Amino acid sequence: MSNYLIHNYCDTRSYVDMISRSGLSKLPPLIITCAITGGVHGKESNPNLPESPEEQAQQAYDAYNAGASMIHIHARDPKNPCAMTQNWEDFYHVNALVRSRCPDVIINNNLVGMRRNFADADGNYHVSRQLLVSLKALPEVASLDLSTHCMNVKLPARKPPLFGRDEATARREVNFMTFEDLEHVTRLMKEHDIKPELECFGLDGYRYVNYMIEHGLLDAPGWIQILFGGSGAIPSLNQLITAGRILPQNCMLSIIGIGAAQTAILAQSIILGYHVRVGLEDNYYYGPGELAKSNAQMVERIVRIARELGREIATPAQAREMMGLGAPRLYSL
Amino acid sequence: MPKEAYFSQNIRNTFQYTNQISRHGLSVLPPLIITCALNGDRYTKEDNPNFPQTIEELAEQGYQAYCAGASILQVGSQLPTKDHKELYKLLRNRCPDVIITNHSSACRRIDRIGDEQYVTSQPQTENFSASPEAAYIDVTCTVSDDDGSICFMAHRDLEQIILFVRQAGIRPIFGMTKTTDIKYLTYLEAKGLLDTPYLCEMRFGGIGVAPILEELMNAIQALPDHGLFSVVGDGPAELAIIAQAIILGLHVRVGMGNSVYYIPEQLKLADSNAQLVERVVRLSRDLGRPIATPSQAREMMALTNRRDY
Repeated sequence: MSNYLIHNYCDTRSYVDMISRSGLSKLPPLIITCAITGGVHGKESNPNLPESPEEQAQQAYDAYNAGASMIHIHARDPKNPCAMTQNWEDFYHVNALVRSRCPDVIINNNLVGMRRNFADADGNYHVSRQLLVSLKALPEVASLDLSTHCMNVKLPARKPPLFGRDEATARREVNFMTFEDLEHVTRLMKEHDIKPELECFGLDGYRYVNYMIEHGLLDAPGWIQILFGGSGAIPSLNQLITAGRILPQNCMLSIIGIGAAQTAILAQSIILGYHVRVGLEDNYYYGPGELAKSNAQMVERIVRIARELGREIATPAQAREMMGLGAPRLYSL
Repeated sequence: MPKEAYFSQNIRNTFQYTNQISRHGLSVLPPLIITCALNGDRYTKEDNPNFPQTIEELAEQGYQAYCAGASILQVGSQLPTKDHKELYKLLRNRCPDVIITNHSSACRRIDRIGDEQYVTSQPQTENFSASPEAAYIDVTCTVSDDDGSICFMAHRDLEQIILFVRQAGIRPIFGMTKTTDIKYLTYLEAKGLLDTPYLCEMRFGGIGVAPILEELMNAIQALPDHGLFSVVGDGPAELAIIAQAIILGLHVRVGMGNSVYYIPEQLKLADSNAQLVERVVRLSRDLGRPIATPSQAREMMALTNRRDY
């Protein structure tokens, strides 16, 4: 069972044996997550990016049909759709809409779990409360950011009929996770029966994962996701290989590719036996200067690449088995 | 071999490296710049009675480390600025050509002062006014293992700090604790704010990067051009990562500011900063890599005019 569920990425010898005999066909089936919306850019960057719950449900459904077994959701604030909502009910509503169309897809919400430190117009710094909005929306999996990093992203204005940000601005903030906050959020997630997606912004995130393992805070199998590009790790193959070699014990590894590096870094991940995330949150271009038409378009391409390479695609049922999740969670509309 | 190649090796050129070690072993790699961190805010005399605390002790241990082979001396940030000035005078008297640096950090700190109450400091740049020849600037964001405090470098702060040290004639030395911190350097390069040759340093082990050769190679491959790369190790993994850095043609930092132990896994305390430098010198000589004199280090760093105090 452990061979099938959790590949041992430290062991090059067994990988060599495996691909020499069977190509990529004996690697764990590829779990594809689709991050449909995100909390940073919106329709001002790509009009095909879904912001409303109805659009999100439709694009989730199309991505699911294309081969995504998990949908990563940021619910937007209906009064200000360029920002993530501060009400768990908005998350719950999207979760219910997605579930009504995709009976077995894994529902994943953005949780964050970090605190934010930002300067106001007068240069005074403020630290937010721990960000835990989606907890009560009871996603099956929620992303927990294991990182301390500075964000420096330029955002264009939202011209009518869009609204919420009249002028171009820059998002400059420090996001941080302390070990105290980590213990707190891990307990809360356990109480709510939410599996944490351990989101690392580089291999330094393993410091937090190892802390969780040492303190008995992580139920196997751990689901680790690492960003490459953007605010994440340097998108080089060297770094990608190291990510597998020093992966903490009993963990699965999924890779996010940000921006133009996405397809290259994900194709390499597929070959190495990792899992992948695509979607308009991470990259809203299909190619140079060509905006993506939909989330499904991005999923379809990664499915084609994986199939051409000989790697099996996980069904939602297989993904649930591999990640140790139970039957699909139900949400009432 | 032309002198230029001797001093400015492109650390990312594996082809050149292969040729060099195949013909000459490590003997034609750039001479090893050893930095000694004399003190630091992690430790006090309580941790090790040999830890230098007074200005006189620091000056004496600095002199011994210099005699042992250190070409850069780093003074920790916990001394008040006037003591820095006093110490630099003493160090310059005893070590005429050593490079005098301090650890300013320049990061902001976030401290928790109560339930849901946090305070964010100004960038910690107080010791710039003591005019070191070079200053360590931490280009990173980390959470401390000890007290949970956070230190972070914001991009806007960094731009202002670089403009300030440029004008003040202080050479920045960039301190990193993660491989992703290399993006601060590429950010500065894109803004035209990375003066070359630059010196940067990465911490391996402890709160730093996983102490393995693979990560060291990854860092080398990702750094901007025309840099000098120095490695500092934390905890029992220190010697292993330092030895690999010596072999790869990189530079190293040791000292009681970094570790008060001579053998951490046995909790064996260091006698002095010089003892830690001497071990690196022995190791490097045995491997065949020459040690940089302070004037060679100045030439490699393009820091030829020494500063008097």
